[in-house]
Amino acid sequence: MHLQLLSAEFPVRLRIHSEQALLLDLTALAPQGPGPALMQLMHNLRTQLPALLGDALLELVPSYTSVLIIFDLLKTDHGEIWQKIVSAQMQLFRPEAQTNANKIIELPCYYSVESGPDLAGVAALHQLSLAELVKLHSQQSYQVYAIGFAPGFAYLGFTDPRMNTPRLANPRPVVAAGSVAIADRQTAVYPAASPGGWHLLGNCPLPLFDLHADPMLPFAVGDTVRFVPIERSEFLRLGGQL
Amino acid sequence: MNTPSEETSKQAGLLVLQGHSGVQLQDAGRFGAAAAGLTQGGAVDLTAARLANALVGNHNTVSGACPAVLEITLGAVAFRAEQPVLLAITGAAMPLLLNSKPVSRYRTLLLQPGDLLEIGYSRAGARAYLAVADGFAAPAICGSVATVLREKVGGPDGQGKAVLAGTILNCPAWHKPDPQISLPYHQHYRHQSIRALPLIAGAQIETLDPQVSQLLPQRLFRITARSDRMGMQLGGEPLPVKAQQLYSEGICLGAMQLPPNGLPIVMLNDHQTIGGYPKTGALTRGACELLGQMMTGNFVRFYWLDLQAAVQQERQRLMVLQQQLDALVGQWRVFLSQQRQVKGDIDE
Repeated sequence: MHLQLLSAEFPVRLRIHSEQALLLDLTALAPQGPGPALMQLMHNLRTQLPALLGDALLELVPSYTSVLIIFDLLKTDHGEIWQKIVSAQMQLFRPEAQTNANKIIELPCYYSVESGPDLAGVAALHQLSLAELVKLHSQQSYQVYAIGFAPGFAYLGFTDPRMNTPRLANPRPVVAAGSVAIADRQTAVYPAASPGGWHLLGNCPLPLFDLHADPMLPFAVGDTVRFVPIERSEFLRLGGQL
Repeated sequence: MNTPSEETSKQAGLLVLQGHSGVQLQDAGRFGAAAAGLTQGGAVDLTAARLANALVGNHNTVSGACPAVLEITLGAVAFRAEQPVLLAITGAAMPLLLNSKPVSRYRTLLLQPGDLLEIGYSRAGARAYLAVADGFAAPAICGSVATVLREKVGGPDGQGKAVLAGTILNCPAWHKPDPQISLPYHQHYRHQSIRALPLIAGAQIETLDPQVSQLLPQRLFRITARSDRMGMQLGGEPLPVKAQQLYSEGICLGAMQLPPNGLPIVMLNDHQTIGGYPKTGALTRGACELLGQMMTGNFVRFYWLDLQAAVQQERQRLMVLQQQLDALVGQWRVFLSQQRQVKGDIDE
């Protein structure tokens, strides 16, 4: 039962994770690794699986190349869920069936040495000027690949290889809320003050995560995010803190 | 002078005289928010939490919500009742003193204002559960009061705080007699300092060193002091590991991760929502409850259980629990009808 393949057309695998959890492994759909096409699919799954699985579904956790499904084992089982997914495979996995284009969220970012203490260091490491580094980071859009580590912390990828920077050898005990950061080929915004080992390039003045809002976050796995450089005055006007 | 209003004094149930970070409000956990990075939380021994609730007459079923209870890790807690409170304690064997006199677990206890309840260090088991009639009042965050310290979510004020000295726990006052409802403790849980627990093969077992599936059931692991509500970190002879890069994926309760040091970590209720370590498989919910009751220095070994057998075992476990909950509901019906009888007699 584990490692079943959906079909030759959609090489999706089911993996048993526990007596009440299974994982849809989409790795084979993206042999070159996760990218915009897979994230489009992730958006599809995230929005369609809840209706397909009904109240037996307890939790959905999309991440990079997989979706974890946690269910109530008194209401359903692995086999029934797999059957439902097999029956709905055309809607779930066929690219042209993707009706809702995923959202593009623009996040203002004040790139500066005062809001991003590693901006100068990262630029120097890659022999870029500050302006070139800011341009590299803000000229492209990113996919939300996963959300985790802390509530509202989104892993966005992938950054331009010219700014690929390994994590800090010594993580900071406190990173300011809103910090826009990079590590390896990913970027993120720290939703709240926390310890952190990523390099800080700037700060986003908008509160991104609110436990009492619905949704709690302006984006979800599969969405697209873009950073828009703003000036100091705009940063302060939007409520940014230095 | 600050005199609490009548409304407030009615609600202030227990004043905590001694507490610590291991004393937390918990319920069945927080679901539907993992995609935003929030862990499930909830009582590690949910069975004990449900039985404590059923003892004090709080309705709950095996798959429904669980009214808020106090999870008490290892003991060392003291309370003073601020109003009449009906409570019950289940789970780990912690000595209980009510006004300096020993009292029992797994039965209702009626505290009068000023009564002192002291809970000593556990002799056997890691977690006890204290439920009060009609439940503790606390703000629900995403449908749950479950406390997650690192997320600053849940608990008495919703900010993710543990229950420390000075905390006031709110609950409705109890104005009836003690119904003296009880449950033989051995029907629920008997501590064992060494256990064999089932492990469902799956996840990335095929990506691990091929020796792992053979070696794992042969090893005896020790519960280390680094274990907490995030995970039980096991000690012993390391298992062989292969260096590999995996994309982070969703993690479920009970998942057994094998980090680069070769020593398994079993994810408990406050586990991170995603992770990139390979997994050997997972413990069932029931096995997690037993593992979560084990103390530092206890031993555990694992045996492989196939999925169908694991599902059947879990359903069976939940059926037995539902019967116990129903039996307690039955005891409560008798008490409440006697109460109506008494009240009726007086009215006549």
